[in-house]
Amino acid sequence: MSYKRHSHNSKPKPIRYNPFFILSLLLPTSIIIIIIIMTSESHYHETKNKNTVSSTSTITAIQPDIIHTHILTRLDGATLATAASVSSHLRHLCSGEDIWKNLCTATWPTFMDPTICHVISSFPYGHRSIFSDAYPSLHHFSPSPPNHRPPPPPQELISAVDIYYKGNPIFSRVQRTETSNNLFLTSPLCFEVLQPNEFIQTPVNFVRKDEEWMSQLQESFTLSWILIDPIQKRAANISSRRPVSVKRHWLTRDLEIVYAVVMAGEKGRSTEKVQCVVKVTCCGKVGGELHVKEVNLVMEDMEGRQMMGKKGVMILQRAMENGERKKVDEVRAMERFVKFSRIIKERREMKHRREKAHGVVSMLLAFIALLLFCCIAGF
Amino acid sequence: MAEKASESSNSISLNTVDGKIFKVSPTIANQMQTIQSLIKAYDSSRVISLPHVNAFHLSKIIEYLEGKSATTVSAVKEFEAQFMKDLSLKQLKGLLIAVGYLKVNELLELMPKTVAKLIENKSVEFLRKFFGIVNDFTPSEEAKIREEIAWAFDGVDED
Repeated sequence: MSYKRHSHNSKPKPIRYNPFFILSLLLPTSIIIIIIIMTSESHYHETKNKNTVSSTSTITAIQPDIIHTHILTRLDGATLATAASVSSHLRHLCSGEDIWKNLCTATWPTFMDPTICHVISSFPYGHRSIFSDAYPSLHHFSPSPPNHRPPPPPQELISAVDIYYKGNPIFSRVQRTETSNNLFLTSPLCFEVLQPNEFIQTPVNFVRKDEEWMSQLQESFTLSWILIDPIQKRAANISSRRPVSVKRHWLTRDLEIVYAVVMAGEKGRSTEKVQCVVKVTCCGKVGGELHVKEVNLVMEDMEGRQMMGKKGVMILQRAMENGERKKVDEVRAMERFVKFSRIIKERREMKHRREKAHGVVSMLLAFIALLLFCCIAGF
Repeated sequence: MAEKASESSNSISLNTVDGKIFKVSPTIANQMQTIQSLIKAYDSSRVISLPHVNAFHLSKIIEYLEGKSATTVSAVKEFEAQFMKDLSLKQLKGLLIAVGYLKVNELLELMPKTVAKLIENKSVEFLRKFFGIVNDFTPSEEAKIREEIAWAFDGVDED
């Protein structure tokens, strides 16, 4: 027992008082404690940094509804589309049908029409799809590849026409045009928006002769003409938005406001490029208001001849399907119109000269034939 | 600047996150919807603490509300334009968060309008920097999205 106790008491003694042993015990613990303190401190710093970052720079983390209800609703279409490409969260916020619907109806009052609403509901992304189709301008200058199989021609095209004066809508009309009947296919392509004897009032006072007034009209009368193919679910704006020319008719003296978009046509001597021309004809009396009496869309080729319904609809369909969409550039649209008008003039003059030369040659031939006949008859 | 000693007994005390006490009149306080509902919930003598608003932002909000009520109707637009002009981009973002929390309706009209104007016709990169948002799209996703709306990037402003 005593031995046991002795052995028990004496054995740990040297161990307890051995400074090396204590040191060897203390050292790793202190190192562990230091490591724990350091890591917890760095962790603290990290979380602190995270907090400060999130509170100063990320708006979305704190108030996504400010962005959604207050900022996004105030953006124009291009900025909204840009915002949708920022991150997946913002894309989600920007993809709401209500935002795009509001943007569409604010841009085009015709989009409140039940016919249009019904058609848009079948588009893949609803109002977002039609907005990115119809808001930018249409750029279609290269003919479609030869192997490309065209879709069947559309049964009908829907026109959504809005006219604005100084940015305020003054006229909106939705019109369905059946494009598959024989009469349409075999006559020159023409979409008429107004009924005969229908007039639209404008807030503009009529002036008989004034260049300044006309250039002012060119600045303030804008037009959007959206063509919708409900089967292919595509749309395009075939108006230059701002007029490319304002002039008076040479005979009736009516005011003609012209909007034009040039696009690729089809193979042929004069149909390589065609131009969609929207003409707004206005009349009025001095002292009274200006009235719009005709709004129509035609398509003309490089010789100024009107395209037929069948070819015209095919060209429009191809342009809607393959045409690039770019930001509206009114200056470029005007340049294209001037260039196209010059081509028409040159081709007409060339045709005229050729016909004249033909006439001279045939006259000469007839004269020679007559001389020969006289000679033969004389002898 | 912070302690606007108002002797009126019914002024409301607001405590910002950085510990400054503001005393505002009930008319000013009632234009902040969040505070309005807090006054209804507690009794008005208590100091209301605002965990998401710092002294600078609250002083700006009060400056706007007091300044606007003091200006004539015709000069309001000028006052608002000057108020927005005085803010740096960083201050604007911080203030927008404070305004969103306090629900100051008039500023919730004015400020997003200014923000919308600032980001109009700007690039995606500018918007990311502006909102402090990290791009979480994969490169292929982003390329697809950019292709879809290529028209929107046509002729954007330099950052």
